[in-house]
Amino acid sequence: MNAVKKAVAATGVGAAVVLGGRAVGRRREAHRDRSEHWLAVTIDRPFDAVSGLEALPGPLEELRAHVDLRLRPAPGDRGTEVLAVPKDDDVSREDLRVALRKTKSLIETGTVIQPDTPPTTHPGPLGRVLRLVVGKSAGEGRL
Amino acid sequence: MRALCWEGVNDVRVQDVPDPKILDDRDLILRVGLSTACGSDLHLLTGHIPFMQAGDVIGHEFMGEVVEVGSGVTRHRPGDRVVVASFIGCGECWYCRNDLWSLCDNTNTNPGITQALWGADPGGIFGYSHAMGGFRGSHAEYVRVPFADHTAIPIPEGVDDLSAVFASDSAPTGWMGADLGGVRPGDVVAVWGSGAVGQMAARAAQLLGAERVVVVDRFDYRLRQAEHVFGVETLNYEHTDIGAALREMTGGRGPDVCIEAVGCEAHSYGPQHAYDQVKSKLKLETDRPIAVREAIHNCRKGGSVFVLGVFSGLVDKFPLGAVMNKGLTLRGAQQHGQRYIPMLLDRMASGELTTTHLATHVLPLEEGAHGYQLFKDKEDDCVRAVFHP
Repeated sequence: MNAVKKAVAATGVGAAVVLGGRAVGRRREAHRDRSEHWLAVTIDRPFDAVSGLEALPGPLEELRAHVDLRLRPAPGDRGTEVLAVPKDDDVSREDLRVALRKTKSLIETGTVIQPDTPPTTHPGPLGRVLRLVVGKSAGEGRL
Repeated sequence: MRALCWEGVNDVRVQDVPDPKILDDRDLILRVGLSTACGSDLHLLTGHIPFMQAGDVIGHEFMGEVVEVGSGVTRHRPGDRVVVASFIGCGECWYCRNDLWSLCDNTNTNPGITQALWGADPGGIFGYSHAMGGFRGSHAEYVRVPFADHTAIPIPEGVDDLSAVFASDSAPTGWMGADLGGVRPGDVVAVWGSGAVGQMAARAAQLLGAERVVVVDRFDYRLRQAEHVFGVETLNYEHTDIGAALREMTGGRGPDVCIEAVGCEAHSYGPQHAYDQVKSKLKLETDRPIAVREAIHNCRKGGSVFVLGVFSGLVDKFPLGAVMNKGLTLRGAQQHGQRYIPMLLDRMASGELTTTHLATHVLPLEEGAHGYQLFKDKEDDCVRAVFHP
């Protein structure tokens, strides 16, 4: 069964997404700003398993009304690619990155790892600056 | 509990910190038995890796006794003696399932920092800055071990604590360099650095069948130790032209596999050292790749260079022309410990792999600052300072 047929046949999450859409397909790349690109993670689970879920776990499901979401099989049986982009101003790309990462971790491991708390009891002035950076880190990066 | 904390550049102190708690049902709490300083910690001490907060507990190479397990832990029970891989692996992502444990997708809690620096985030590591997850380190009485079924490995009977602690990081890191560097029977292998990791790489090369193993360093006491314990050949770069010596030893070819186990604060002599010192002080390069350059330059045509030493960012005067025109294979990695640790513990039990000689200074945790001073300044012939809480 090819990828498109799989998507059509899929229920749950799969039925709610558009697969292999033109915006993320293998077409020639038009000029687009970084902010226009879809954010993506690959979940190391088969496409059928992910697209067949009743709902994606974690915060991604909570954002569903405000994002466009696509699922497609990763090449070489390397799992399922999940792509998302905000469709209104109610969701930031930072929030969406966090949601994608957490959803991937929840599907793969059943949990989201936490650092020890408190990481330190007396971070000092430079440490507090670093805390601001670290606080934003989960929503930044190259997704 | 008491723990050795990073308090600023070249300032570590034993402090009171909150006890760790189980935060997830797959965590365990370990009573640390032994925890060793590692050369890569020195990059934290010197401020080379600027993602530390005052009060962060350091240390990532350790063993101990399980005292508490979460309800989801199936492979360990209180009372078990385990060694812990320095990199935390979830065991469920594509990288863990393909034995590339240090690249785990799900254990770095601050992925944005390293994604910006390197284009992707490696896994989380104990006690190694907030860029690598912000987990508390092991120079402490207790430590939380996430994804314990994968990150902690039972220590078999017949392997004592002092041997086992080096199965946490030094031994698997060294083994990985020889293994992924492609050492084959009959090879000549050169290893830059005769610290714990370099010695473990040299021993791994021997066990993988290398016919000659040559270790390069500037500290005679470390070279003597490698020579005495493992019977490798040694070269001191302060007294010997390394390139000429290696060509002479290999019939003009150069070593088949060159393993760099020095890292980003390498030393040298003459104009090259001065050049890199100035560039790094002026922040025109973050790392000094002196040993990497030498490994690439001296490797035989079509050979393999493996970078084991820790690098953080950008280097200058990288001999890409040599890599390309000599047809070299260049690889590097943080350690995929879970892939190698059980096998290495078996080799320790059988007597094939000796590690206790690396622990030149075994000290109470309360003397942690002194231990790091000995280790950093290479005083009293220190190879590794190992702490017991």
